[in-house]
Amino acid sequence: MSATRVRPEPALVAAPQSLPRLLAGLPPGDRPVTLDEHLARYGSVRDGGKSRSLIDLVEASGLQGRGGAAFPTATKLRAVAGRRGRPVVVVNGTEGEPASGKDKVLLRCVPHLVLDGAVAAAEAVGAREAFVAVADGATAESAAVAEAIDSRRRRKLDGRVTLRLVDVPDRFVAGEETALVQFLNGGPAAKPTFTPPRPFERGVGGAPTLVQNAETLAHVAQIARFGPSWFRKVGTASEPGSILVTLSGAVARPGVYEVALGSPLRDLLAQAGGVREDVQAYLVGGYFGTWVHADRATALRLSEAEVSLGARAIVALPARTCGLAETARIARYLSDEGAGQCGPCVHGLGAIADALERLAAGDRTDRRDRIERWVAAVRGRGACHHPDGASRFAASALEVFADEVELHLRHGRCSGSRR
Amino acid sequence: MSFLLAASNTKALWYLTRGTGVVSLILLTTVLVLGVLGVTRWRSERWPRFLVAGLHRNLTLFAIAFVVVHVVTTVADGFAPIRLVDAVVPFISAYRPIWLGLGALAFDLLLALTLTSLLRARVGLRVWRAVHWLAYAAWPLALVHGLGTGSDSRLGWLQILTLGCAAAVAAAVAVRLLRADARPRLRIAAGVATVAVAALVLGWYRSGPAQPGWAARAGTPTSNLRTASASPVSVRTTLPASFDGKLTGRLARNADGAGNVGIAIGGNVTGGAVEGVLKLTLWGADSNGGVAMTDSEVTFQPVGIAGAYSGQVVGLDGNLVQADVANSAGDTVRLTISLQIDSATGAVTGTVHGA
Amino acid sequence: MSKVVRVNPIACEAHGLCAELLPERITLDEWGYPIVDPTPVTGELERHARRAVAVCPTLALLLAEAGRRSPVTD
Repeated sequence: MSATRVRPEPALVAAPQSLPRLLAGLPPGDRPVTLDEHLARYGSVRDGGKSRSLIDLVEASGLQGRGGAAFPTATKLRAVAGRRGRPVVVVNGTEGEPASGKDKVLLRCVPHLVLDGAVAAAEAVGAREAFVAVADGATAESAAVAEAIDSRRRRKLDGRVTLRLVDVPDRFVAGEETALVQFLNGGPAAKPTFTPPRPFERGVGGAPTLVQNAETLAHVAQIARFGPSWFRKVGTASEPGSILVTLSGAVARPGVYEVALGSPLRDLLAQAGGVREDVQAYLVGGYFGTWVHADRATALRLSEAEVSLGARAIVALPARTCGLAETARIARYLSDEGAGQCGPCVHGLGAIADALERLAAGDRTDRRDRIERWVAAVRGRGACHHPDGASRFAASALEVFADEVELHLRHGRCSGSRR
Repeated sequence: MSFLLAASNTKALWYLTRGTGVVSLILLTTVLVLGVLGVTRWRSERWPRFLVAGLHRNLTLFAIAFVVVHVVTTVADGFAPIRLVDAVVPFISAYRPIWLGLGALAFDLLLALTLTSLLRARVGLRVWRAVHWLAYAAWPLALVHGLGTGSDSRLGWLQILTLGCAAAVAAAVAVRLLRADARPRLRIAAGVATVAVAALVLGWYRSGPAQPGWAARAGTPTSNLRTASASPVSVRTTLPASFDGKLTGRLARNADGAGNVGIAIGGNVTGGAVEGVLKLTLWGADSNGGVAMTDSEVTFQPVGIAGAYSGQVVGLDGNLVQADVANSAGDTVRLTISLQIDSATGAVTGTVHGA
Repeated sequence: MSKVVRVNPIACEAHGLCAELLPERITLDEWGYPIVDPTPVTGELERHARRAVAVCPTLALLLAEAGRRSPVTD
């Protein structure tokens, strides 16, 4: 199948009628879709010269970033395109959130969809280079992307845009926008920097840099082919489109699912075969997310308006597990994974983790208001949003697991049998 | 019957040079201690940290002012051939080039430290910090400069003062090393280097400035005191049976308006077996531009020979002077001095014969 | 065009001189790090703020334009 430079008529290409969209047509087993299979399904995304209109298409579609901040993608594209100098595109596939696996699935199974989006975005902003950032522990994903880049280069599919695979340290903060840029600029490490300048102003090599989540670019690749009205067919008016969500914990079939924005959590759980056992709460948004009581969760809709979706990872906590212990474990992880650059974050998250661990272990010397004070004290006092996320997480835990906390404080023991 | 010796003009500038130099050293010692207090985050009830930081800054500026005066008085004092450029370009002076040069080097470092600090926001933290480490080099340079160029490095109170400053700096450096959070190897290396430098300076001081005859070995030029010979002058205890030398010096004359005059001649004896400093002072009545002498005093300090010779003029005939001088052990020498005086400039040349 | 005091949290090493010189805007938390009040500094206070900015040993304190937050963020 030769790579044509003319955008094929929509009628020739199979536009997914409903869900799944991104995950449509996955081959059996865990192997990636090959370039031939991809082109057979979608045709080529290049439309030779009408790239500028891509930003208009994306704007009309109302696509928001799928990396956690849900920022309007078109605004970002315009901001970078409007700067002087040749921009650079960075595909953020690092996915440092432990509870999330959606970007890895995309890179591993449909890398060409992501790369199509990267190339389309690069042409739209005038970039010639697109870096694909993958965590250095994700070997299968890395291999899939490398092979995909290779096969595209052999077919000269991407015109003047060069794709480059970059392995990034497998750390929680390494995927933060400024950390990623700093790493690509040669180090010393993948740690956030104190802005300004923001990447869209000056990033990799001093050029205006577009940092975009891998899933966002996959959506861009489909919008380029099927148009904004198609994109808006699922989701809500203010939050259009589909999202990939990683579901784990006490469900029958944990994994990555594609759902419409605004759809009820209930439907997602049903897709995953329902819960395996009694669930007391859901962690919505990954480690930076918020705990939601199981009762409230039944009516919950997966929409930013109702709950911060964060990294789009949901963990179902079984009733028999101590919510406090689980919170303490995650708090410790967040404390350890900080870049360690800002005093309030280092001390604050450490103090919170210490206190939660002690509380979970039955030590009754801590007081709840002390923990709450630390939780409030770290907000906004770091160079990046790491302490903010951790603070939000701990605050929601103290609220949702208030009974558990009381139990531990009063009696030094747990309601759950597992610590 | 005492008159103010015009030669004391030169003395005033020399004392000023010496004084401002000593005060500068004390100030720089204080500044270094304050710097260590700042970086080790010392604070107390009555001393907020911004005060320590502010004093550190202001005392440095104060010290620079003193060093500038120190430089100006040295250059203005024509006794030693030192130019303004010798204060900033090290090792090119005619007077004790090495030891003076160390002072110039210390001054350059001080200027660099101060400029980068005043412009810290412009030069950035890394450059500022790198330059600031040189402060630990500037202080010992200033100290060695002081010990090497001073003519009274053996004075008791000055030794005590110097020791006090050195002790303060040593303590500050020790605290700095102990409280530093650099790798242990780096701290140990720095500690060893400090001890080595201290030992070197002490050893040099004991064998150098603390020994008589240092001025010659330090490179004082012939026009002042010393020969150009690089080899150290041996220490003898007595003068040879006879010796000759050339005299170069200055004359100052003071009249009190009532017909009394004092004439002081001071200079260096060089070029012979014995070299030294000769001072003649004659008091008496004014006599056609000369003096009808009624009183006199002669001192002769030979180089490399412990003990000064002093005595009186025993014969005066026009430009020929005879003086008998003796040292504390009772050895006597008759000096025969022939003078050529340039009455316009006050410069004196001549010959000295001792027997 | 009003100015506010901001701290670069990466450069800050909790020396605490800023809180001594500008207590109207800066207090120290229990670990010695500054909590900065974002209210603008005007007139006489701006002079004190500039002094605090100059005295910070790590150049972590800044005087910035009020309300200047970048619009494009992820």
